[in-house]
Amino acid sequence: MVTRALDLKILRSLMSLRFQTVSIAVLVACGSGLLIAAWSSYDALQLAKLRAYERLSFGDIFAEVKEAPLSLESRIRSIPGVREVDLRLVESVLIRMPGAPSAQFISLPEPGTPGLDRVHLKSGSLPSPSSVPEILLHEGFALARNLGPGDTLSAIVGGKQWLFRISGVALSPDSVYLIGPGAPLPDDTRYGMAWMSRKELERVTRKGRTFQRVSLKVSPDVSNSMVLEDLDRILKPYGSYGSFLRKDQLSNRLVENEITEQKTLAVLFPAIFLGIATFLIHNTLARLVQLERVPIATLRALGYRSFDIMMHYLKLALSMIAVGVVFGIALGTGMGHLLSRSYQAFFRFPEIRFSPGADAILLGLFASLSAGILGAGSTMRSIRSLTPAEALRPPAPQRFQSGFLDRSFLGPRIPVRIRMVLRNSLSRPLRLTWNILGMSCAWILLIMSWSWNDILENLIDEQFHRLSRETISMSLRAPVKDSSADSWGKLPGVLEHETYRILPVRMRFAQHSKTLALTGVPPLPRLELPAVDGLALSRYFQKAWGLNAGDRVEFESLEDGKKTFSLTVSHFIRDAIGVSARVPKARLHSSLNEESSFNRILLRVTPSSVPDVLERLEASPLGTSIRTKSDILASFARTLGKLIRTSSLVLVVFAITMAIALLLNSIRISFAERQKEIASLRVLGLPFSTAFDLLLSETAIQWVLAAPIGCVAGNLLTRAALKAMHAEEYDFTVVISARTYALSFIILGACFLAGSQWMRTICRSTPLPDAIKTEE
Amino acid sequence: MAVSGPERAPVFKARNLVKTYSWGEVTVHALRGVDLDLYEHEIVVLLGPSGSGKTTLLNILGGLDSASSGEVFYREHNLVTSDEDVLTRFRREHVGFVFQYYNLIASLTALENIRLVTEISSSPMKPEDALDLVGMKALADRFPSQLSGGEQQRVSIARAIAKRPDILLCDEPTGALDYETGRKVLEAIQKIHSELGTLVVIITHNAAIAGMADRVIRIENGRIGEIRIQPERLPLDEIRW
Repeated sequence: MVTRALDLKILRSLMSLRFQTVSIAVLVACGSGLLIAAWSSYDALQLAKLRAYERLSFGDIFAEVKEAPLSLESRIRSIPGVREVDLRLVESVLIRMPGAPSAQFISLPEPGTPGLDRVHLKSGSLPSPSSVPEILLHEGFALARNLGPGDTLSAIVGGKQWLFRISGVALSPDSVYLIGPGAPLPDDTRYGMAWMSRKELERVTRKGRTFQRVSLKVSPDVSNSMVLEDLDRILKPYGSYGSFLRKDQLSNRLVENEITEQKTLAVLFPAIFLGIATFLIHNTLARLVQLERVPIATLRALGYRSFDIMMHYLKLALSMIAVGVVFGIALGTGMGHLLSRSYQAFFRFPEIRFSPGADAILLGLFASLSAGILGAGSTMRSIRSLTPAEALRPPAPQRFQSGFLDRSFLGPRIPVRIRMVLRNSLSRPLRLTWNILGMSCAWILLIMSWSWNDILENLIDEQFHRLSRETISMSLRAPVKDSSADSWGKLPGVLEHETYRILPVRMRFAQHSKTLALTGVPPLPRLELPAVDGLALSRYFQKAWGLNAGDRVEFESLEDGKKTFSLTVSHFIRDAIGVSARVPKARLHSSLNEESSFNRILLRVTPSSVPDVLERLEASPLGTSIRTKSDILASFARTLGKLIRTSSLVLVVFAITMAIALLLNSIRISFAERQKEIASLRVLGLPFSTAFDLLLSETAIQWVLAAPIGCVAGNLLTRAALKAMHAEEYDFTVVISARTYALSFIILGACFLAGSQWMRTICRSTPLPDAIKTEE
Repeated sequence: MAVSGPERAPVFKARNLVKTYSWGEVTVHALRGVDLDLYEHEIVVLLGPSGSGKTTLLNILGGLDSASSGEVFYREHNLVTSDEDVLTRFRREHVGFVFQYYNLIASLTALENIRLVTEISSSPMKPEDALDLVGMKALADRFPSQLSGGEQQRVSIARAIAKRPDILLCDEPTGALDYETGRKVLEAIQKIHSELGTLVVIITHNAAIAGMADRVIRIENGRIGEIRIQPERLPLDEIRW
């Protein structure tokens, strides 16, 4: 039995090893905190999604159609397995506000029918009949434009300007992650959604008893593909864009992607942090057991079993972990709240309720305790193999033997002091490797967390400076002849202009299909790169669809006329955000059998003329969306940019904390081990600084060797992390700037200098007679 | 032969030497006013029970520790008022230390351990000669872990005398060794003394070793209890324990 006296020793050891206790606790707190925060946020998102989908009856199968009569409802309802049908009238509108935002106006279910994809009212009330038509505004747009119940807004619907009153603010399960058509990123200031009664929307749009969107609930036991087939067959004559499952619904897909990323985050970073904690626990315990050989032998001599003693040291390790876990739970809860709050800006769920669940806490505890047990494992073996009689004798000198260096012609030429450093470093290769790996973890952490900023900057540079050089872009309501571009190109202040033909298409290859914009690119484009000489598709299709150059891809135009054509893939391009398909403009015209025309114009304008040109463009009845590059950049900075910078900052703070704990601890342990040797050298007459620096060089060698390993591993792990998080929407280039390496070098260098200065003070203040008697 | 007396200038002169250590609320008086002179060419054995202050005295004489009050002169230099640099130079040029647990550098061979000292001394002997003096030349390339306790101690003695020190301070040099090995170590010390004329101070619990000394100084409770002059040293063959 382990007595209480032995347990008392744990408390004393925790106090005497307070530096190690604190540094291990810091690492464990970071690791378990991140794990708890990420896992709980994952849970919170998952739960928010399930609750919202359930409560608001999110559909299982969807379809979009140009225009179909409501009378089709009974046919759709009769498809085997269909339980509920909801048909909505949808109209794209331009809102009269600065920046010319656009929105989708959607009909609400008929009164008395619950319908699918129901709205959740956040404030105000449902629209009621009134002289000014009332709408429910999407929460994201309402917040971004500072609008609320009682406010009005005007919009162009069907070529006519209407005034609408906002009766309430709402959200829906199909618009949790709202992103404009063709937009790479969500931007609540520029794209919104609104709901109004069918009767009013029919009146405003003059579209009559028609629908553009279908949402179905199906029985779980029915084959989805059969329902999709039947639905497509019914809708085909009405300009169907093809039906799809919930997993392909845009908002849902983006939510699912984010949840997957959350899971990656919940595993990757805590694993690194806890891995380092394992390393520190191992080092600390190994050193402690070495120091306590005599007390251990004494306990054995007194009749304690090695098992009791092993348990004692294991308890010590676990106590250090426990201190960390307590802080980790607090830290994780705080961070989780923060993370969940930042998600609320992206994901419009009725509520994201964050609470650190018992499973997240247990997981944090389990992972941390595992790190402790793993770290203590090898030390346990050394306790078991320690024989009391041997331990009570003075420790034998560490074993050394002549190595290749001694036998080489260089051997005799190496000064004795350098030889000592080299032998100490090389004599225990496993330990050297372990120490180097430990120190390189500090590099990995810093590089991984800092690289996010580099990736972001590169993305901005690539996407907004190198590939797109326009100042203003304008999309047109319908294609116009190329010759009409000159009227815009000759506006005062316009330096150059370029026209593009954008065609909404459904692209098909084998069993895959996707709706996207096919861009007809002018020859030798200067304002939007890259130039193409055939069909160029995003690299995503190469990986996800298994496409190769030379394959033929089918396109179905979603514009009036429903033309279909096929093109041969010429090459693949990398799109950092979103996916694209580009083809020479002339080729697109010939595929569509149309005259040379355009529906998107890019202008490069002198900075001082931007307001005037914008004013002229906005006055044009042809334009649907006008955007300046500075708007896009600002919106990017507000959304994804902010998210990346915030996460990067959190990680950098964690990484620096950990790097400091790790490096200072490594330095402390390695000097504690060498203190006697430093003292011996001083007794022989070496000045303190010479003796100290000699031993410092051993740690310096490890630090220097850790640098390239850490840099390479940091680089590789960043790539792996990005790959694990890779979604269709993003294909970032991993760029790690010299600045990141330099900052890591400066921080770790400062840690090293501070640590060695600290040890210098400790060593200097230890009286020589005491130091000479120190146990090695 | 014991050589002492007021007519010769001492190598060390300690006057009213006091050393106290404080640990929290506990104060230990290790030395309580020691007056002592040590002369060239003599072997002095400091005898005394554990905690009597003999190691503290040796550490202060060797410049490893400083006194709380009093004076210690090495020839005309006051060690008590000397700073760390002066004490380092003093150790480097004049003092050789031998410890109970050898304190060899584990990562250096026997020969290299000695070179560590000869490389920083002004007129050292050849490292090989130092090893030869203690009968260890044949094992010059062995690392400490490849040597027995007695062999390690002899290397430690060779390292201590390689600089041709004026004083050799030995703290329990045979404390960790069996009789046979211990005797070999004492032989090495005696040989060095007779060949180099070094002042040797040996700390020991072992009263039998006192036989090899010119003077035996008994230390009790931080003070000099008795100084016994021995006109004739005993040959090592006759010393048994």
